Amino acid sequence: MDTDWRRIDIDALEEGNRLTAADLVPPAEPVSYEDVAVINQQVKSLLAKGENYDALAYSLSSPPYGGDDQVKALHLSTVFDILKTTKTSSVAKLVGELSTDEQDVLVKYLYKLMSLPQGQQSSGVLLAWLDKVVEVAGNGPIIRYLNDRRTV
Amino acid sequence: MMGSSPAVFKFKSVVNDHIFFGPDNSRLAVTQEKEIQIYEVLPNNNKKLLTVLTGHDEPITAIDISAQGLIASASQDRNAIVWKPLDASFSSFKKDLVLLRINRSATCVKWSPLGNKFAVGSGAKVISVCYHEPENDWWISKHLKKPFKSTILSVAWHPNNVLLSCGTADYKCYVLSGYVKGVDEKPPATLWGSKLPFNTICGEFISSPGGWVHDVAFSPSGDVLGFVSNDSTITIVYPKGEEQFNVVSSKTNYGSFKTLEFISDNQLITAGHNCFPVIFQGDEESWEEARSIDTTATSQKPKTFKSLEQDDDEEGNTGSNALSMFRQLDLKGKVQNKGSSDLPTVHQNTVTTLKFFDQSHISTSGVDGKVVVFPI
Repeated sequence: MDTDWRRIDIDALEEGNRLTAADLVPPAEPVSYEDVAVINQQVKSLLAKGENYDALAYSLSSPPYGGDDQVKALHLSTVFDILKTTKTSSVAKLVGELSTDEQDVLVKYLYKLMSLPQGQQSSGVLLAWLDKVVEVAGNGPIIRYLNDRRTV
Repeated sequence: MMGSSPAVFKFKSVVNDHIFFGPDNSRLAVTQEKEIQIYEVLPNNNKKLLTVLTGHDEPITAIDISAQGLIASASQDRNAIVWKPLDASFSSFKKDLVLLRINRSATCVKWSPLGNKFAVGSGAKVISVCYHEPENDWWISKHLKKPFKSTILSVAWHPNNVLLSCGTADYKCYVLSGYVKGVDEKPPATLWGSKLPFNTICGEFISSPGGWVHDVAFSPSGDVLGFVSNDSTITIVYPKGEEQFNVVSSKTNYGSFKTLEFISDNQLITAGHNCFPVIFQGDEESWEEARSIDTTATSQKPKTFKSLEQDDDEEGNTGSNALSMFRQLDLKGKVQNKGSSDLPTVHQNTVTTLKFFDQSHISTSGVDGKVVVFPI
């Protein structure tokens, strides 16, 4: 007998009602490229005025879960600009003023950037931010990042 | 019987589930692998083994006791067994196999408040609602199939004996009807719904980050539902009637919680990977952490996250600990163990079950093989 019974797809023998990856992602509002482009412009003007906290909170409060890859890439670069231009000394204060939801989103962007070549070039900046998030908010945001299927 | 400090009972292996029962809660049943051990609880936290219940071929996942004193057990061998005590001292039991009709492991079991039926969740994507049929004197079941797409991890009954809630591995928590014709009286309308034939779905909820729903519970009034999920978030649901719901969630910085119970509509108690029970309180606006029950956890180190960090530091020092161990061996021929790797909590690993012991105590059990009775 050469039947490899461990490789039999036993779920195929049962009818319907199978869980798909999409079932685990909560529905999200569609986001257009124009929407995130507007945010990008506003964040740029806030950064020019040196209002980094407002820029960060503004960009993290509306993550484009429902956008396509292009939309997500633009918003990613918006957030990355803020992270890069913020002084290391003021990171802890900024993170502490964010809401729990915003901290969770921030961690998502930090991990996303760490996975990309563009982010890896500034990994020191990203690690400094993550360090402060964990210091201020504990491990909760990381546990939620691992569980959350809504990606940025 | 239980005092103002935690009472600890230690066992050989992981305690998946436990129950206190009998006069003055003087009997303790714990799961140990494939068997249930029944103990008599003696003064000074001692215990005496009365009997061992065998009958399952695979590890037992959960046990529960009915208002009438029947014990139901669920196991990975795809069976559930109802154990009926034959004498007042609980030293011998009659065993009844339940017809669950499932092809995957049974994961959880809960008796309904009246004790005339119980629900068994399973990996077969169904909940078996089991009840006794006097004609043949056996326990049979009806399947709640819709709308599950994944393993049922937890079940909880509404005080009206009809509605039940469950948490699943597909990130959802459901409220549905477990009304069995001929067994149940027609229930009065609640905020969850008025017409409740079997398998009516009254609500479907998610925690916004998402994650396996480890446990669910109704408040004593039945008008509040709470569940804990793997994203270390507690979610509270307030039904508003006509399928409208107000959902409040509380994100925490602890490891994920595995179990919860409501003390009142405004207070719940939960525990899990943080290794100690915590009370949360709140209302329709928000829920916040109130206090920890394990005073040893809080008296030494007030903030959990900080204490976890310190534990990490201690672990980081294991190199020098090992060095000092060998130095002591060399100098004195023995080691003085400081026990520095112990957690500052009573439980030394994840708490998996939390139950009410009486009005002012809870009992917990966990992966560390301990059953602990905490005063609230």
